[in-house]
Amino acid sequence: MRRTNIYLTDVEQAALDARAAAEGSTRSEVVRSIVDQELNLRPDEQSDVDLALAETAAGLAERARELSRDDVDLHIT
Amino acid sequence: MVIVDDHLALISIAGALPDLGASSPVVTTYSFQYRMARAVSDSAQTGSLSSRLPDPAAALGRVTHPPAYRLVVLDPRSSIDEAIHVATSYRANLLLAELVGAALHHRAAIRVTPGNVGRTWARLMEAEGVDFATVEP
Repeated sequence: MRRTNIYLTDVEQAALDARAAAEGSTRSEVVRSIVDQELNLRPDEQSDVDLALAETAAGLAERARELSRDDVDLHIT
Repeated sequence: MVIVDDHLALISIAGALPDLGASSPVVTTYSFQYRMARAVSDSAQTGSLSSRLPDPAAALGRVTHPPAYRLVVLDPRSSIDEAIHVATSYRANLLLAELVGAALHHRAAIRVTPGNVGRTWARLMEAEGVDFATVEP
């Protein structure tokens, strides 16, 4: 982990401290938890959607090339 | 940072990316995200991959809002100066200008699948000093 300084308003600091106290946690842990949740940073297992995307990736990539063939901005030149 | 094409981006979203020989995070450009989202949406409409893509709406959501721990989509505005340089110097289209512009701006490597390499790409990457290679999916 890296140390990071951020500016918070008095209200934000008070709200963070209240959450930390309620959870028996620290201000840093609460901030990390909020960041993880907001940015969807928690690794998970491959879902059914993931497995389907992995299986169809080659076909989708080929379709992407076909669709972009007549698009001067997006085709591979 | 390593920038990948739409094919590798799909595999990355699915959590099945092979070794890219470059440091993470794995990112892609808006143009490549647009291409893959359009392909997923088209496949849902035509039903061309319906047997293997049973929930196309969920798949499209995964592509348009990928989890950041698997794939980040770069904001094209941050590298517009470099993209314009590439476009004017090499007559590159939007896809290529955005790709190389992002690599220059973020000092990132580029990894693409063999089917997505244009005739002039290797020479352009070498001229701009970009770490560029193809990866078999």
